[in-house]
Amino acid sequence: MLIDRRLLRNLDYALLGAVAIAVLFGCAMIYSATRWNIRLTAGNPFLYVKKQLVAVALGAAGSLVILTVDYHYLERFSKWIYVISLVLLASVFVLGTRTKGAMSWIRIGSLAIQPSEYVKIGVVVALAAYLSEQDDLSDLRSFIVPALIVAAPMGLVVAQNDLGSALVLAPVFFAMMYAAGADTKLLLTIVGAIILVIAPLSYVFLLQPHQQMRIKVFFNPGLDPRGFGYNVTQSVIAIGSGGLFGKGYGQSTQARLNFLPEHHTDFIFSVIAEELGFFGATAALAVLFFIVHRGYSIAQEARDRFGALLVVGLTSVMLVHVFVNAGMTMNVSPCTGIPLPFFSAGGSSLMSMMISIAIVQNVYMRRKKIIF
Amino acid sequence: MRSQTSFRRAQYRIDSSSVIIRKRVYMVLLVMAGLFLILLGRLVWVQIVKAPHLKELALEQRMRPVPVDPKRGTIYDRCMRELAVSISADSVYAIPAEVREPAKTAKQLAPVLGMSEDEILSRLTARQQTVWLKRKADHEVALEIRRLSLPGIAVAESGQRFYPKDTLAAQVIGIAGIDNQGLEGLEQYYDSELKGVRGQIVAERDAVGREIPEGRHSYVPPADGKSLILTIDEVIQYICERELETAMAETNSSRGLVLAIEPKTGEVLAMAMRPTFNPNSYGDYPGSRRRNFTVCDMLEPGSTFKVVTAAAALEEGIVTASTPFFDPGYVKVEDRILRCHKAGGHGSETFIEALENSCNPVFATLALKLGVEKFVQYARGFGLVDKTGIDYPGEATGMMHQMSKIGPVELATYGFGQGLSVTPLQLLNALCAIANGGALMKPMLVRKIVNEAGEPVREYVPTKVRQVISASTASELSRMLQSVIVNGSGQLAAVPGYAVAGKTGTAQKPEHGRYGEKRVASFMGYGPANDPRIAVLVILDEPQTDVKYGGVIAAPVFRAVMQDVFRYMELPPTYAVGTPQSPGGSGRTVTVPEITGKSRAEAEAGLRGVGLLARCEGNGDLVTNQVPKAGSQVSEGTTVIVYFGHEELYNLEGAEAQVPDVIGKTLKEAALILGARGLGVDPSGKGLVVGQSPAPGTYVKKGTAVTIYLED
Repeated sequence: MLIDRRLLRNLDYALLGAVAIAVLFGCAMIYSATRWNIRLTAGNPFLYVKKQLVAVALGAAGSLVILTVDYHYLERFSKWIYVISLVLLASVFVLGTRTKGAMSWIRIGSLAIQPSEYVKIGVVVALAAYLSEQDDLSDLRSFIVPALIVAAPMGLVVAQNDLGSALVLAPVFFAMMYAAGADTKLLLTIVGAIILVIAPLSYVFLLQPHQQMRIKVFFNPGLDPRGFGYNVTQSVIAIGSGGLFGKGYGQSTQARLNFLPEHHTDFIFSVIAEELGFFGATAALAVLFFIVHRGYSIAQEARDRFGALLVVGLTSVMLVHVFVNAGMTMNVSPCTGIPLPFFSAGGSSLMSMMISIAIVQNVYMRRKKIIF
Repeated sequence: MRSQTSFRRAQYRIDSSSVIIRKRVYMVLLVMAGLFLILLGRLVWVQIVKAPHLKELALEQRMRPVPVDPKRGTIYDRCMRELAVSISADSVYAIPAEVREPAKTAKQLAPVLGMSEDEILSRLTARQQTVWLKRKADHEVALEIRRLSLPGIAVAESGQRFYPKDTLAAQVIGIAGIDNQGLEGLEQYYDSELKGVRGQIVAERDAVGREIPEGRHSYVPPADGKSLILTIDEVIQYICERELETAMAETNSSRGLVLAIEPKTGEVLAMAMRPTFNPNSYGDYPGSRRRNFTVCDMLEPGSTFKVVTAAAALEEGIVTASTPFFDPGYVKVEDRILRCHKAGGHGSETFIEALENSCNPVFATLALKLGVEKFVQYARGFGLVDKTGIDYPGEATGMMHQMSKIGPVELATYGFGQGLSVTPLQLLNALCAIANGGALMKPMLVRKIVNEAGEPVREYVPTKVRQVISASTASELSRMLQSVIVNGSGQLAAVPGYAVAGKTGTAQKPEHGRYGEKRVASFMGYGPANDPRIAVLVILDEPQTDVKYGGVIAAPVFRAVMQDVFRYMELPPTYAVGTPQSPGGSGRTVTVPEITGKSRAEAEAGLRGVGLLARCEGNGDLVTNQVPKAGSQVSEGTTVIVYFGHEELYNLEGAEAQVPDVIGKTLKEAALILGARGLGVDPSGKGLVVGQSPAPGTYVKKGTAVTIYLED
């Protein structure tokens, strides 16, 4: 046994159970969303469920490995992890393939990996390691290094034309800084400045037309209902038409008939809401809420500062994903290609989320000094 | 020491910061809860408050009203065989000739179509131009078939007009466009019947507009188009096309046609033209190939027209069969010399001989004797001046000079079919009047229009246009036309065992206002002469053969067609095969050799060696059957039917017949009884039947000749 039995006893089984429920729930919905679509499944209705389960198996194996290693090793090797993350991201420029305008995939044989999904973990590790060493985060100067730690990978992801994935890191950065004890007023000032000044400026000067369009459509989905507003408009219709009780499992009309695009990946939440109604959607949100809630609770119980910051970072990544994705389907956040953790079809996303959970569990397991 | 201090520092950090972290994470938790509340609130708004409106929107989107075309009616032949169909759903079909690896293809198709491999394989190897594999296939199935893109396997799309017999009767049926619009031919003429009434259909649809199989529907159903039942008989059409095809290849003619009409009713049984086109891909062919020149174009009829002159002269009492003439080789009309085709002329001849010889000066003389008024009256009477009124678009009228402008020279040349133009349809229809006891019928292509339930909504009955000549004149002329076959220029048109009547024609083709080297070879006739069931016109335009006479190159086509049609109609032979009716029969009896299993060349050589003619059927390499059987005693010059390979569409080989007892009957009675069962006769001796082989009660293949022994 690689892991001490006593450590195993300390696992957060409620969290484990919630993750399992979310993944299985997701698989069921992926099946429902893809089995009609012969163009996607090439005649095998279980194709995407199978792919998802393979990712679960790989993720579980990776998680087991992570659990055997004390998370403090992450701290010790944080610089290496960070550098490898950056190299991995940069490699996309050489090896990557382009899908839907974003160049963010590496293909190794039939395997497609999206490095940006894993890099988020590396960035959180590096930032948590750096911040755990800092006692004083009260002035603007102390913000420079942590900001750079996050900005470098963000810049690379933006360069890959995947603005959505890059922006996920911004709230994560603020959450970790805040938890690390940064000056609250200073933080709020910076956030305010970004929202009021930098965001509008970059909208005008930095964003490409299609990115500008997504923002415009967010504020007014009716602007281009057949073009950029199409996905969101269709998603809202799908969710709304589900009503209180939904149309029944496998009975979606909007998703099945392809009015709703990307229904097994980015818009899986819309399928849940359409087929299982308000209750089903609420159940999905509740499971995700529970997972995120457990994450922050574990951060509070962590044995040390690094562990706490690490968990805050990883949990915040999940939270941002959940909010941005679910919000997008209901038009409360802009439309970006961000998957719903544990639910959306997609191996890279699922495996990186499972690894994140494994790290969180690692921190939880070792919250108390084990008496040998 | 260093590790000691760093440990202490870490220890301190934990103590002082863990409180802060815990507090601050608690704040983050609150923010998180806030975010989830936003999501939940939005969910309530969208799914509960706005749900009724959004449900409406969703339904509206799916139920876009779409005008849906009715299903275009089917075009059937007279025996309800499909000639043009509209696909109401995606359908998978195969073109066996194009399938490269049938076994492998069948294996690939079986799981997709949900059929057994054997069944698919048997269809893929069928000797047909096209076979349906699955009609009304699911959209996914059709999609998968297209994805596989196997050679010879195709999908006919919903709404598409499909002509399962490809080129068969292509110009007659015409074409319909993708928007359910008849563009040419019968598709155009009967478009209003075929296309039906468009319906307003509101059906649940997916994002790209495909209808959902189990979706909700609410629509005013479209009224489907009505179907046509043609007078065309697919088998006769096939026979005509095949014989025409062969003749085209042998003569290198630029155009050719074979037209068949039932004389008693005016029903067109077949209308074959070459060159032709495939209506399933009509865009690949020049438009000229789609032209139905049987109905829409005129040509100089040449000698075949002499039938009309003869009818008029007989009816007017100007001549009788035995009226003597003298042909010096020309006739002088005013200052013009009109020459006979035979240098030096036919000399002394009776009228019947003049018809047999197709003697131009005699017919020029007759036309002049009739006079312009009478001549035009009969031409019009035979329907050669006006449109026949056939149910086909773009019919041409005949062309003649205005009566006042017809001088003696024109009239004289008209007499033997030169200088005037008629459509092939008008020409054969005129002959039909003679075959039909002098009554001109209106030619027709459609017998019935039926609704989708198959109930007739309209029936077209044969229409008599007028009595052109008396029945007695008609029968007299008919007798003379039989003589043309037996003794005259039409001997190659003789059909063994049957009395047929006909007339040859070889017209010079006017080029730049003069007659040049180009010819139009033709033959028209009907049979059986005593009770005409079918009249056939063969025209070969600009043949490239050495001999361009209709009697030489068109008459054999007529014979081949008649022979097969009679067998198809199961008409009993009037005369026994091999009697002197058959030209070339010398009366000498020979034994039919065994040729089954031999190659085509060997078989033909073997038959020729003993003085028999060969008539080949089928496409195989080796002889599979022969009629009469080896060992039969037949007259020299008898045609032996040699079957190659697989059964043909019209072949009667498959069906068996029980040999009836004909002992004690006369030859004619026996022939009738046997013929009624699809059996041939091979008589020997004279008088009454005293023996027969095979014995009564045995089963033999149809078409087999029963040998009967006759004694006084």
